[in-house]
Amino acid sequence: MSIQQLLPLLLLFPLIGAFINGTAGKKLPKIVAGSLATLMTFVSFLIALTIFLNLDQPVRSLLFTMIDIDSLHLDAALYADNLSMWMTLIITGVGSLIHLFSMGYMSHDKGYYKFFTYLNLFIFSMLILVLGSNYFMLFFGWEGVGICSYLLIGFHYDDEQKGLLNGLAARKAFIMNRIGDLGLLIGLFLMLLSFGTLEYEQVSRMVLVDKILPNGNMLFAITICLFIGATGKSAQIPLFTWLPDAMAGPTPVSALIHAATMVTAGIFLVVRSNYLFHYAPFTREIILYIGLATSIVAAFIALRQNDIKKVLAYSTVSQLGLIFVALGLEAYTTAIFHVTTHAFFKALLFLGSGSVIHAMSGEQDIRKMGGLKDKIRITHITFLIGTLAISGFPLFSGFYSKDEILGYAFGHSLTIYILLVISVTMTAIYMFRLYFVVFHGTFRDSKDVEHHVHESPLSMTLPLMVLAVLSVIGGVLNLPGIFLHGSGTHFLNNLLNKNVAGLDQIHNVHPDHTTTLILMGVAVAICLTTLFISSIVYKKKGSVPSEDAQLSAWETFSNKKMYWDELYDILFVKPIEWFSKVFYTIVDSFILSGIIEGVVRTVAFSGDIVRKWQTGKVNSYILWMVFGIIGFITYYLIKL
Amino acid sequence: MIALITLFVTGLITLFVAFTRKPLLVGIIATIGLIGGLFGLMYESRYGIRLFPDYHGLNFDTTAVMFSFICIIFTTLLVWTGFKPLTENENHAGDHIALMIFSLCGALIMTSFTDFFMFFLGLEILSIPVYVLAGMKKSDALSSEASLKYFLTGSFATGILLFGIAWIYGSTGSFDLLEIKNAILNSTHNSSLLYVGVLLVLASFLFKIGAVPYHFWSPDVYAGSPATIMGFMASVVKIAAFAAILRLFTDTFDSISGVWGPLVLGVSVLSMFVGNLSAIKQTRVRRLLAYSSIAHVGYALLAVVTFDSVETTTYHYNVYYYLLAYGLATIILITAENIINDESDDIENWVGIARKNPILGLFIIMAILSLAGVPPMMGFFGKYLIFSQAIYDYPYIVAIALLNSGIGIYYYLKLIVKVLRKPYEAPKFDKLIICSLQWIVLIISGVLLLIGGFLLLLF
Amino acid sequence: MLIYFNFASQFLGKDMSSTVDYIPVIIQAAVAVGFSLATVFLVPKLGPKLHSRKKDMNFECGLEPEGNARFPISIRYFVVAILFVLFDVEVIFFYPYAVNFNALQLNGLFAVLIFVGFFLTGFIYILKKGALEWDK
Repeated sequence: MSIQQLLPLLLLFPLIGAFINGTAGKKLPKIVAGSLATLMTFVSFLIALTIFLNLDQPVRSLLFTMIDIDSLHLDAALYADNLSMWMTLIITGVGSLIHLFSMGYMSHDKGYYKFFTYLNLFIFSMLILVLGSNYFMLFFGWEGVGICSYLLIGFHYDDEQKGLLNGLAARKAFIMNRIGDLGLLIGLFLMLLSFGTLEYEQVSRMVLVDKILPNGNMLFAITICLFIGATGKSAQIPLFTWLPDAMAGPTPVSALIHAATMVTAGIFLVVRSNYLFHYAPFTREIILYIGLATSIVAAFIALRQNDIKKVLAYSTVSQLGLIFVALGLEAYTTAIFHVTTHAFFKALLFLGSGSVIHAMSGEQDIRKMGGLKDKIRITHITFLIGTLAISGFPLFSGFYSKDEILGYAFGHSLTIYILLVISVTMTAIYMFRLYFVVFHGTFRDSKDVEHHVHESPLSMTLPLMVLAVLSVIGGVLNLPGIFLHGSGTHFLNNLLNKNVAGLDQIHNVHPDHTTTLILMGVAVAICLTTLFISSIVYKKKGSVPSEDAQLSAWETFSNKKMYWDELYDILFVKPIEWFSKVFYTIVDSFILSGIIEGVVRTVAFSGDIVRKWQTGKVNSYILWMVFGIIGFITYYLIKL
Repeated sequence: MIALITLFVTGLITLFVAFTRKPLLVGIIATIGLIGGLFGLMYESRYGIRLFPDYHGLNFDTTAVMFSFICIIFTTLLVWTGFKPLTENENHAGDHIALMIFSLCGALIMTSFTDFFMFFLGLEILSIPVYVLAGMKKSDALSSEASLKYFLTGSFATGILLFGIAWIYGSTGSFDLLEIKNAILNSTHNSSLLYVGVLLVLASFLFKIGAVPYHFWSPDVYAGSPATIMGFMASVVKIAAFAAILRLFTDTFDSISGVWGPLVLGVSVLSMFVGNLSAIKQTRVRRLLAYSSIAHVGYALLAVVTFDSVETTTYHYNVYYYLLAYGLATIILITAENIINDESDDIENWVGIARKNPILGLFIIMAILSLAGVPPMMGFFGKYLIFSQAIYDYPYIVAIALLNSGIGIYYYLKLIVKVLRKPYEAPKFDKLIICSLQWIVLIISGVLLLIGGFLLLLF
Repeated sequence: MLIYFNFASQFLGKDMSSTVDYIPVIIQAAVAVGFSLATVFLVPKLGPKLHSRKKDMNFECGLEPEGNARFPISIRYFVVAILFVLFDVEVIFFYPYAVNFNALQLNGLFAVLIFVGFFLTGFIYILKKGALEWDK
């Protein structure tokens, strides 16, 4: 089978899974429903792997034509190049592992089949997002993942205690995303306006080969709109507050959607449109600073969060900010590299936290945990690996990807580099804090809970182990050239440059070897120092995060998420509610209703009057006919 | 011509067959005759045969054939749907159907005349049987009233028409439409005789189609006469009259449209307002339909005025399509009226039809939606054709027409709500008896209403 | 008035030299209107008046009114009367035919035969319908 034929199959399997589980899932045994969904995703992964290995030049596979009007031609087509296939591999690969994990994690849930339906549907939408051959398909998948994310965040909407909160979190995520989606949509319209097409191939040919570019303002508008879309989906300032709340969803969802895949859609969008951003330097500046700000702000908030998943959520936001810094620096392959390693270790951390929560019978507050390292051994080790990877511990995957970003930042400007280093340091601090508080020290919850603590089943630990291995060795995907000078280095770089439009035209200046080594030294030093200090503070002294009341000023500031939600409340929600009230009382109730009721009354009233014209007497009828004729003739005479 | 003769002979045969007192036989013969007429019409137009080559009084050109075609089809559907009430009285079983067929002959003449003689003849052949039919229910005072009112006002209008024809003859010296047309075109300064004559003829036409201020007869007559006859008046009579209007005004008197155009436009606007506004508070279904028909005449007249800017002169397409949609919807509602078969004709009797018989309810709702002009029903496309044509010349009038469509939706939706609503009290009629002929009528009309819009895309 | 003149000139289809030409018309119109108005208003004033009960009665004709005028007449009268008129009118159409008998030749004969045939059919129908049977 050719790649063209294989591509639709890639999408078909998750869809079939979603369909079967969605229609007949209720009647299937849990093991069947779960295995089916997992298998479908895994088959997709295998197909993706086959395609990936055989792919040389970009392949386009037309499914059908959606719209074909005069000037607007939209195809539903799939497009495979190394970028989309790389993303597909991450989605289906990590997706399969998380499906497997979910089979154990969700085993006590009554909405089991529904969960897997949504998960498969999500995989399907995400694949459309990355594999679509034009921005419209991307938008289609974009909305699809949005819906799935909404459904999955609010999955436990009927929970007795937290049902309402879960629903609110889902709604928040959805509404926040709508804002971004609107930006994206406007971007697409502008693009259609200036290029006349939304096909990646055509747009890239126009920009790169024919050098047909819209004027600067238009290009700025397009790119900034695309970026607004990306801030929504990838949780950047100002639209990032939904992601921590989205942790209301089941943990596998957080791992899959809100850490590994969906939130990277914005990054994918920017990398996909790199040639547009290349000619919009001002937008790139904005991306750079937004990413930087997000990275630092989120890392700062994460310092004093006490919910295990919230810490990871802010860490995700922070890491995404880091990736956007890379995008702002035009280091696209580095961004994708970090997306990949981040997918590994963040999925690992989330799943690990899921395993912890599972062991703690649903408790998420780290103040109640502690000393878990001997009780849940596999989870402990894998979680440690994840922590080391994200903190940039030497030779772990995070070390390489993060280091590349830092290297480019250094090459760009020292200030940005220092700010990034601060962010990275904070990352290491909160991650080690999390690790030590959870796994070391003494158990702080009731004996009853302690008695229950147990290691998760194999279906949950297996994905952890696989992801742990990947987190350790993930760095080989794009080894820097300083240690080895062979063909093994810069694998991902070469891969993406090979056939992804626009990427090969960007030549970033790598810092020279000495600088690189110094930078690496700094990073390693930071990581090790933090590790050392953290271990002393939390392990040796056994200090525990203090209660909210005892926090110092900056700690409260961090703990209360820098009051972003309150700020938005004052800036947007309150004024809008006020306007809404005003419009309701004055405009709607008074003016509009008045007008409408007035119209209705007038119509009814005139109906009554006109009705009385009909007297029922033939003589009056004929009289009116005569009047009519006289009227005709009079008109004629006047006109004469 | 073949169709005309076939239909006439069918009428005669129907009259005599009725002496056997077998209504079914009458119905079968009438149906065969009507369908025969249909085939005659198609045969004649297909092969261009003229039965009497020397005779030029009637000319079945494309327009005439088109209009005749739906006249015959509508009559057939109406005979089917009203078969039971038409043949209720065995003594007159044949009479009613025969009168309808004779009236149809008049309609055919109205669509195809080429001079004022035939026109007048056609008009009278069309009208007089309808006067009689309106009073079909002899024991019903309202029916007799309807018949008498229609006759009195109708004869007055006929008088006006003859007066107008006389004035036109006086100024042009001919009854022949072509000669009149040429006379108007060739003369540099037409005398007022002609204009006054044209206006008088116009007035009588507006009476026939029931446009304001010549509409007063129609609510009384529609409400009083039996449902089937009301359907006949609303569909066949109106279509024939419109065919004649198109023939006379958009062809013969086209060159002086400056005189009659604004008047028709004014009448059109008046009709919309009076029809829609009066319909709002009606409590009887047929009266409501009568007022709605006045409004629909208003819309159709808009198409007559904007006609001269249409490229194709042979296809009087917009009016045709609109009347077709209107006629089909009316026939469905008339069928429903026949099924409910209620003397008082109270709108409250329509409450809960859809609950008693969902399929019938569906057809009724489709018909009402079509009348209201809601896509994808045919009525919407009819309105769309007319408005999109008129908007170039008379944007304000189209705005008014749209406003009126809005008012119209008010009472149409009220009717739909009634059809769907649960009855508050025990329904008056337990069961709705629908005979197979009525099902056929419902299905044919309903399907046409539904796919009519898409047929438009094909042509 | 000006409109009237204008209107009249249109009708007559020729130009009016001046209003002088209309003076006779105006005089005639004035006389006609004046006379009728005069009769309406003067006559009641001029004649002597004698009132009596019988004289002031509606439809006074010298005869003593008797009974109710609105008594029903059998519908048969009307049916027969209408049928008589119908067939009577038919005969009128024979007159132009008779005058043009020679000119119309054989075609005319056929036309008249068809015409008579229709009426005969109608007549048969009436007979069969029983419209002419008095007591039924």
